[in-house]
Amino acid sequence: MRRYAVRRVVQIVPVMLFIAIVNFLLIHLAPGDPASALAGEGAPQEFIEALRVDYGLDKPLIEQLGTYLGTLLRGDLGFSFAYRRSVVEVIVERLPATLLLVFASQIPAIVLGTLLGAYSARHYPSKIDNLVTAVSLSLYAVPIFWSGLLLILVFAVWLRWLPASGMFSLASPSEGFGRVVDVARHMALPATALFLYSLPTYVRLTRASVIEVMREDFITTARAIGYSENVVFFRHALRNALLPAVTVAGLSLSFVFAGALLTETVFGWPGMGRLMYEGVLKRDYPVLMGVFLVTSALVLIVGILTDLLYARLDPRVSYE
Amino acid sequence: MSAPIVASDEAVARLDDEHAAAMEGLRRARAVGVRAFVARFFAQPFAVAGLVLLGIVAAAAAFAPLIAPYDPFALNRTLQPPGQPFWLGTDPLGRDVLSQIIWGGRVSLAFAFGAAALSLAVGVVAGAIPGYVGGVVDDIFSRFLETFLVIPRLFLIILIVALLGSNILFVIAVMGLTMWPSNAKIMRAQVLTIKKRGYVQAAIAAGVSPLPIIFRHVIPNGLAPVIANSTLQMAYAVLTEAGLSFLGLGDQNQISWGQILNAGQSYVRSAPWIVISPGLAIMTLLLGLHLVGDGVTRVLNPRLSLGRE
Repeated sequence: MRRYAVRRVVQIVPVMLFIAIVNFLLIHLAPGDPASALAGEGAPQEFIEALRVDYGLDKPLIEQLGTYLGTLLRGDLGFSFAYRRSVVEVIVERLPATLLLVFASQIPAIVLGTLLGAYSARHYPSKIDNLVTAVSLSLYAVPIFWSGLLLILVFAVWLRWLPASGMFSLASPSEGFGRVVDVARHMALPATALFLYSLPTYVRLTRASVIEVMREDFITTARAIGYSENVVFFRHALRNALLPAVTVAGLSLSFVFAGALLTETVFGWPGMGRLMYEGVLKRDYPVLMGVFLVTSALVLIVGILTDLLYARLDPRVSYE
Repeated sequence: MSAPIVASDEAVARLDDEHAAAMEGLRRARAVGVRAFVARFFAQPFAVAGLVLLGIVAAAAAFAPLIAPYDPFALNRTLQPPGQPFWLGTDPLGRDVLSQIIWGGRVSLAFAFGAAALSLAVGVVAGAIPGYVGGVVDDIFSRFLETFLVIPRLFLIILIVALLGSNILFVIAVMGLTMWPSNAKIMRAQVLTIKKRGYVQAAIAAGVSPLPIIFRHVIPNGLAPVIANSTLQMAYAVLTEAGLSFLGLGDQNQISWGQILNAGQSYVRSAPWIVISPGLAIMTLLLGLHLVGDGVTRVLNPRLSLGRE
């Protein structure tokens, strides 16, 4: 188990290396000069010249790559001229808002999604199961930025129940319970959008996993022994089906971050996704590359954690 | 020292005959398979409904010049609410929303088919060859696939488009070239089982060289689940194009559903009609693709269920 953990963690290295190389190649493929791509739009000429020296952009390509990787390894993701601050600082400041939004939407989505998926599989095949399938396929077809706009239209514009954008009110209390309520009210709509976007994934995963397990021999055995269908379902099928479903969910976190990016853009939620959008508008390439790198790292780390947790929780799994 | 094993001429001729007979049998089986597939697909009401939705979008896009009441770029009176003469209203620049939606279907379909076809071609070949060859090549390739599959794709695509430009053909190529690993992964898994089958072993024994075996025997017989995955990829391409255009990264020379949303998003309060109808258009196309994809998957493998691409 420990050897497996070490091996999984070591696997981060080639992936991050690959992503760094992609960034490096893009800087060189960009029209114009790599130094101005590294600087982003609006940087002064002296800064671009300084970058040219710092990154050794007059040296051979392979040496440049070495310098670039060295810079990244020191935790230096570059400097954003739009914010007049280092990219790391800007991202670290935005990260908590994204994580808050992701947790607030994913925990209910996972709980409700697995329940619905299990319920649907319990009644497979039936009208109820078809209905759940139809509803989840329809939810798949809703673009998250559009459901976000509709939520704003209904709950912020027509009903005036909730704020349409941002994270705090101007007149909000700066601490205590009032602050929490204020943030929660701002988060309600974006979290709902992200919840509706993720829900069908968890439903479909759980449903497929439970249906798969229900065909196993041990289920037939349990039925033959004479356990009631409920006992067979809850004690034998569901327990065995949930782990793989949750694991696949943990491994596919990048779709949640993609949804968060679009949600944050629609609702002006000050997280990493909104930062990416602002980076697009301002042609702030260091920020774009930094967000890409940090998101990839997060996806990787969560993937490894779920994998290890799975190996710990399921005694049948042995990794060698 | 043992004598080298040399097949007699009759043995080779017999193998050749067997190979030819097997190929003929395979062709017939495939024809029967296709007919059975079509019959079982059309037996599912949801799948047929999906096909109808796709047909509506495709017909509107194909006949756009005949159906669209206005030139989608023409500037009329701005921010007109739905009614006469602008059925779905006009946007902040005065462009007719209905005409933009009808024309915008072309961009979405170009992405659906272009990106998915490119991803299919690259994924199938790139998955089949290492899977067939095996050994170190396959090991290295599998590592590469795993690496590529964990990368947050939308972030990568945004980065590429922001840095290198948003020309529609270029973005379709970018999407196709970032989507293929999931096809390759499925194809590779297919190849690993197919290459052990009798007809492939017979072809190897008959002395057919690897490339013809891969393209004539292995790929056609392993294609089905990759095709099912392709419908998901089409949906992903449509959704991603809309997302990019919504973020302002669309091709400015094209009309697309995402760009209508982008133009209308700051007018949600005063002119909500601009954002409502393009969203419904995107949903129609996506729902059609998902229903057809689900139908294909159910026929091919009733135990599989679709996830999100």
